[in-house]
Amino acid sequence: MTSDLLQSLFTGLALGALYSIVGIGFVIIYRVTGVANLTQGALVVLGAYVMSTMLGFLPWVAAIVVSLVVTAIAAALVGLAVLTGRALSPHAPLIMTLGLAIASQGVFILIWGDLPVSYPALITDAIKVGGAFVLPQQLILLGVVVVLFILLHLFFSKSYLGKALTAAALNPHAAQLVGVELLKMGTIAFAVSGATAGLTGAIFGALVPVTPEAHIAIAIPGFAAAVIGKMQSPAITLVGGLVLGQVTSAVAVFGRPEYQQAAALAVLILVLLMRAALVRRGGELT
Amino acid sequence: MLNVDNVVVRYGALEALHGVTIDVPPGEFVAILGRNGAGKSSLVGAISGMLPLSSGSVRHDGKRIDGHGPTHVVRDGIAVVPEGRQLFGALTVLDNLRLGAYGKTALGLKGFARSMLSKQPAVEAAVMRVLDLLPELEELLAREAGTLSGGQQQMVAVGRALMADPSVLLVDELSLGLAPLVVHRLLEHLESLNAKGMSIVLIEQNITLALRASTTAYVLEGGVVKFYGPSAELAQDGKVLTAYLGVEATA
Amino acid sequence: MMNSRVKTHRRRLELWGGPLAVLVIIVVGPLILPEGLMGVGALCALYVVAAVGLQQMMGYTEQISFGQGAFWAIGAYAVGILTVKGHVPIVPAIIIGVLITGIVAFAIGWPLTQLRGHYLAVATLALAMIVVDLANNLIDFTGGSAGLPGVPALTWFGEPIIGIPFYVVCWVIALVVLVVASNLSMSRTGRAFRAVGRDDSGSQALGIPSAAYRLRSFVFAAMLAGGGGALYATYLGFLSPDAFSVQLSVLLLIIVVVGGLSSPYGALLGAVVVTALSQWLNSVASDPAVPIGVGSALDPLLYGGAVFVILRFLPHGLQPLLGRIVGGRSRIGRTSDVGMPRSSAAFDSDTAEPAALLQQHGTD
Repeated sequence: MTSDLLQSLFTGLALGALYSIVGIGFVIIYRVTGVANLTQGALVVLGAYVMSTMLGFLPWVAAIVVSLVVTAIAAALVGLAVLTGRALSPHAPLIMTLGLAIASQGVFILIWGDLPVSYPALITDAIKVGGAFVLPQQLILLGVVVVLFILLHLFFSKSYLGKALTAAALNPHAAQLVGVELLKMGTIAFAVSGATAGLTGAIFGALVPVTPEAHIAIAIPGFAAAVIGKMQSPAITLVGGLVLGQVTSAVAVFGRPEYQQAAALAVLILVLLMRAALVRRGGELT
Repeated sequence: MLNVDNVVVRYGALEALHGVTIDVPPGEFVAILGRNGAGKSSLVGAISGMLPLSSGSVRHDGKRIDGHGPTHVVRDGIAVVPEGRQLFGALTVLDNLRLGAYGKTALGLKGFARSMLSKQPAVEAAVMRVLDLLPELEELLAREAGTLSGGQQQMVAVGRALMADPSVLLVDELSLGLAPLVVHRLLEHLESLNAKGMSIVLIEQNITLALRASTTAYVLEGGVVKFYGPSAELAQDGKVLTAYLGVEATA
Repeated sequence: MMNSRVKTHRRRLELWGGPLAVLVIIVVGPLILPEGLMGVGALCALYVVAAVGLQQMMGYTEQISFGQGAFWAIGAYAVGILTVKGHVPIVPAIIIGVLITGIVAFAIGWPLTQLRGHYLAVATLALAMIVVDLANNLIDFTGGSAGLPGVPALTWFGEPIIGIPFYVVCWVIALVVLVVASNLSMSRTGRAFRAVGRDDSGSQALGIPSAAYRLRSFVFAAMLAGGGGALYATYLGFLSPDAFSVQLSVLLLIIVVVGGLSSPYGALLGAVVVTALSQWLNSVASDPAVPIGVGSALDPLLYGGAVFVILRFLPHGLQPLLGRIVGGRSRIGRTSDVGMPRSSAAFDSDTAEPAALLQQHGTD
């Protein structure tokens, strides 16, 4: 029983780390642009796919860097496409990102085929902890996410560019008046979120084989984590994501695994409703 | 020299400015007056680059600056103190000031690279310069901008605009919601800046204040300039005051 | 506000041109379409029915819903389970199916319609996915991924209604739905203004639809989708969870956006265009020259790509183009004039949803 619990705990940590970073990506993009970017999951998957290909002829450090760069560029392109079309209709950006996320499935199949793709972890030997097998890759994933979180925090609070991004989020009108170009800031927000998603995907892909449809299963809990973080606070999103990771892991280990996705979805809806209730009581509008 | 030439601004089918011409010679203190809905906000939008012009042009020192957005305008030396202060509330006063220099320092590839740093010499130097001009800001630097009083926020907004080292300062509704004493102090700062050679364009609802501080005044009504001339004259002209500004003539 | 001349022109177009177009489809369809495509033609009508519901939601209450596919599925499975397991006759089963969908929509919608903007969108997306999951997993009821065979066809005095008669039935239903919805929206302005006179909260006066109104359009849309799904079940005779994937919700969204949000007849336009296009794409994909791996990529690529391209380049749908062709002002189908000054850059300072809702979107 305890070994099951421990297993669930460690799997949950890895999942939670993934959800957290995806959620933080959502939050960054939403704060700067007001867009909910549903391609976050697809960017994670892209990172994993690129990693799988690059590992074929590059050492893993270089391969990860390539993953990061490719996803950053892809995300920036998504951002540009969506943000430049935004003035045309208020609904548009969210649906556009959904369209791109679905289309990405097709692109993945065309390039990498529709069978699951996997690649070996950095350290393959599992560590035995009290009856459960912990994969070092899970711990690496967690560690990387924490480091990314700290780096992002430093970026936004200390660097001039980070402050400009925050300013664009706080008051787009005044930001423009001091010379901040909102489109540029938005694209940067997309690129940063994409890069972190891709990097995490590159690590996560060694744990779970990558499939083209996986993007939704990653984006949904990530979005839930972001909602827990009120689409505002990366710190709360981090915690929320980790909790969600534990929840999904528990459902898979203790409950019926086929309901894992449904459970995640139900949690998302619950979180959304709770947030709505809180907002109504608090009186704020955002 | 700032020239607003026959500018027309439309929102969809609605025309807000029907051909407005305003000239701001170097070192002038110009007041723009008018009731609500007269077109003052549209004028600010047109000059600052936030609103596209349907026709006409905005020139600064002979060069056209319209049609390229607000970044171009601030880089060319026209800074705006927006209506309602519009500070970055969750950031400190110091960071608010620093961001004022964004247009001048962070653009281009080199600027982008530099903006990764937390402190840039050019920006810090500009902060010192602005603190010289507005010493009251020094004690507020570490405060979160959203926690300041209206008057303090207004001063920060002016300081932020000054960070761009402008030759023209556009101030939109300075006195809105502020106590007379505070407004007086702010106006003193503006007057001293003007004395140093900075052109000031003051959009104001408080007519007495605006006429006292400025040398030239324009009266907007229904999207056109109904009157312009020396402020001293306008202050005496009861007819114009009542007709366009709904104010009883003050001697 | 559109000027009254444009409004009357548009009114006339909708009042007469719309139903006329449907009648043409009903009469001409069987004449020019081959027997094999009658089913597709009928399905198109059912899409119209479901899409009208979505149009009412999105066009007038600014709610984005990816959940229409879910309610279509609920309607279909309700009919399937009632007829196959419960041995209920088909016509009552369809009626009950629609009612069940309405009840479920009410229960889910009550909390869900508190959400706005992207939150509602994602929540309905999650809903659509949950329904498919349940369809796959509640094997005792739904037959799981193996499917549920044996749903009977509609009957008229013992004779099954299939082929051309079924086509006609579906399009008549679509016509009724379109006319009703069209009349509802025509009187909407009148109702809105009457509402302003009422002593309600400030938001009412500003035109932001109340929670009750939003719930009503949510349930209405769901029931229409459920009806579409129910009839779909009798047409197909066999239910499988694959048919109800999120792609159906996306398809309905494409239909509504392509057709334009400002009139129920946009759903008609969109459904016809999209059905025709996907038929053509299907023939391309099943071309033996196309390699197998590409085949499974084509679906998501085209659906997703279409959504993106349409939203990015044709966000007002095809109505403005149609309006110009038919000779009216190009205002037909456009959202109303921008009343508030917009900054020249890409986005607003108010990202709060209610403020976005204030933009007049598709109202007269």
